[in-house]
Amino acid sequence: MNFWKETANVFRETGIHFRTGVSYMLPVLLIGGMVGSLAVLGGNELADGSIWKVFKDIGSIGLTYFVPIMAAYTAYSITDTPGIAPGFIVGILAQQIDTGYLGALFGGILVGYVTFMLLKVELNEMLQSTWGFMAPVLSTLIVVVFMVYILGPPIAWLMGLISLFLSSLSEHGSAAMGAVMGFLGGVDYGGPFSKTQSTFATAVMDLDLYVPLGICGSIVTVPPLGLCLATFLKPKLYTKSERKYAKSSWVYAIVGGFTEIVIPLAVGDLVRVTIATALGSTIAGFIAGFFLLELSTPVLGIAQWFFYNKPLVFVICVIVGSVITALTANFLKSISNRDIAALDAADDGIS
Amino acid sequence: MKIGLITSCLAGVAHSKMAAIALQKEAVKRGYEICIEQQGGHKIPVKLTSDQIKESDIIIIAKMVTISGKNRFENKLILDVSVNKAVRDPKSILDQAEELIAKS
Repeated sequence: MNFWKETANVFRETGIHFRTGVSYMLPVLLIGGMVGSLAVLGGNELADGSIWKVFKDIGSIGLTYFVPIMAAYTAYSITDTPGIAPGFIVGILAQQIDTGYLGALFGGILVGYVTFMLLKVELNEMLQSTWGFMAPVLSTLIVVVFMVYILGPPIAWLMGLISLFLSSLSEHGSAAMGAVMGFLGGVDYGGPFSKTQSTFATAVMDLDLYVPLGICGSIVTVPPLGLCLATFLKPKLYTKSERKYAKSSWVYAIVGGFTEIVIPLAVGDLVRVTIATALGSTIAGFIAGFFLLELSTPVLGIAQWFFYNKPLVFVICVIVGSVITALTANFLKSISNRDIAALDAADDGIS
Repeated sequence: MKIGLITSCLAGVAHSKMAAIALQKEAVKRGYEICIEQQGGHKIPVKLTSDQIKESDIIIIAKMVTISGKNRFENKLILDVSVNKAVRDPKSILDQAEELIAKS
């Protein structure tokens, strides 16, 4: 049996499995966060049976169960439908033994892998038909025992430490964290690095920490807005198609609010633009962290304006970050010898 | 040549669409037929029909997250790439696809 080959196949795509879990988790978090925030309208003291109390409860359901959903769909990514049920159960267990999202991630991967391998076992025909039902049960048992007795305690200890560390961060600590997150967010436009920081930001919501999400929210639109601003300031440094794109995309960046919008403006001159956006979002993240900007709901674009604790700080972050990005980009481009006329000609040839 | 393209990304708002556009542009330039299914997060994907899958010479999967319904493509020629590469460098992916088809 090619045991090792199958194992390598599963773990080579570990990043994809994690991201699949996150992809299915986000809507749950979104519903929980949005509905929960509506309860704020009802004031501080919510009477039992009032609609605001119901909203608040719905919100906390979403904010609790996003962790098991993530585990379930991480397992689903590995072994398709048979992984969902064991993943969900292991995810809930991970929360109950205080290992939080970290435990759920490991648990999801483990239970997905074990289910996958068990389903590969070949039995005689009569047993094979019931094996499809039994394998997830068995894999759940194996992983649950492993989680509770071996993997759980150290992860719970680690989570306690992270939680303690993050919640005791002063302005300076948060500012440093903001700078690191800003750098990660500005360096690859929605690629693995950005997703690492945004996943981290949403995951610590499980610990009732909202500053990382505030940082994350404030840096998201810095690269596209900064680059659009740069093209308006010095159009000569940009090709015709880049200018045309910038004209329409700044609105899109404000309303929709995601970093990926910048990519068409970046690919033509990747190194210089990346330096500029990384610098801009590092500074935006630094400011957001310093003022302990909190965002209570993981939404993008205009919608997030309503969920900041300090909206003014958010606006300042975005403006300062974008201006710095724009100025840096234009400075770097002005000392390069990018032949705009030739690039324009090549573009015309295509379209 | 007929291409079936599946793209997937985390939230289904940006990367899957950009990869689809980039590859479509390049494919049309080379005179190929292409049909596209975009997957991810928050919308109901328009799925490739079974006829489209049957007729296509190659299935290109540009993914950031695991695609749903991969078993539809059993016995098809599959090219598995990352969605980021599809956005940045669609040319090399179509080169790869041509090579794969020539080999089979």
